[in-house]
Amino acid sequence: MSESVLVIDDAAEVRELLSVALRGAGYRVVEADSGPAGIEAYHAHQPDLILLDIGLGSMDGLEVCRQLRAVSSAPIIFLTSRADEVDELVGFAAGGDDYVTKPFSPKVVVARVGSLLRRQQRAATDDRTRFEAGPLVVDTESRTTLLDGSAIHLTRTEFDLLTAMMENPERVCTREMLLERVWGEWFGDTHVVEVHMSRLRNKVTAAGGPKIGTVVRGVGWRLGVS
Amino acid sequence: MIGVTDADESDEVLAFIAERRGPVLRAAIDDLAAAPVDDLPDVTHRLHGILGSYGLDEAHEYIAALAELLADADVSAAQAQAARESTVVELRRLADEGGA
Repeated sequence: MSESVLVIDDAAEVRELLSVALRGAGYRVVEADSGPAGIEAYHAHQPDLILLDIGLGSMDGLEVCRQLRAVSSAPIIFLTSRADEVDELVGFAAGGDDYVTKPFSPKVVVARVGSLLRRQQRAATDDRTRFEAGPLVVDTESRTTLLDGSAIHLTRTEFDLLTAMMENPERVCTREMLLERVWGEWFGDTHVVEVHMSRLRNKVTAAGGPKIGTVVRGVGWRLGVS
Repeated sequence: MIGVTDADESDEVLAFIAERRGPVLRAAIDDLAAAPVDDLPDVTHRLHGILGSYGLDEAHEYIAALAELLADADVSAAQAQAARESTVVELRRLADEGGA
C-alpha cells in the first residue's frame, strides 16, 4: 500500500492543489480544514507524514504540531506564509521537521515529502540499532533516546542528527553529510543544521546530559562525548 | 517568489492549475471584496499563498502590495478600504482578461 499524507490547511485551494500533486506522485492523501479536524484525521488514518499550515484559525498550526508530537513521530512539514527567521525557529521548536513557504511549488512540496519519507525508511532499515556514548544511548529500532537510563523526547530530526553523530562519536560530521543523512534532498537554507543542532544540544543539557555537538570550526560537528 | 512555473510541474498539476486558476481568482476577489476592514490583513495573508501557488503572478503581486500596505501600523481604516477597493478593481480586470 502506498504511503499516506495528511494535509491540514484551512484553504481549500491549497489542499486541492497539494492533493493533486501528491496523488500524482503515488501518495494517498487525507485532507483536513482545521486544527481539530486534523488531529481527528490523524487518529483515524495514522498518516505517514503531515503537511501542516501554520496559519490555521482557532487552533494554529504550532499548537496542532505540539499536540500531534505528543502522540506521533510522523514527519511534519509546516506550510507558512510567514517566512521570517523567527517563525522558522518557532516552527521547528514546536516539533516540525521541515517547512515550505507559500506560495509554493507543488513539485518542491512533493520532493520534500519524498525526502522525509525516505529518511524514515532508512532509519527503519539500518542494521545496527543501538549506539552508546557516555551516558547517552540511542536505539534506532524503537527510536528512543536514553540519558543515564531515562528517556529524552527528541523530534525526528533531532533524533536523526544525534544518531548520525553517535554512530561514530570520533568522526566529524560535515554540514553536507548531515544534510544528506538527515534531510535527504534539501532545498532551503543550509543553516537548518545549526538550528536543529542547537535545539538538540539544549534538550540534552537541560536533561542533565553533556554538551554535545562540538563545533569543529570550518568543518562540522563531532558528538563530543566518548 | 512565485510557486509555479510551467517547466517545473507535472502535466497533471499544470492541467489542474489551468482548469482552476479562473475560479480561484474569482473566489479571491469575492473574499477580498467582502472582508471586513479589520480582517483584511488575515485575508490578504491567506490569498497571498493561494494566488502565488496557482501561478497567478500578477494578481499575487497586487495582493502582496496590499498586504504590505496593511502591515503599516500607521495606515488608517479609510486608507485600507481605498487600497482594498483599488486592488479589487485590478483583480477584476485581470479576471475579465482571462487570468493573471
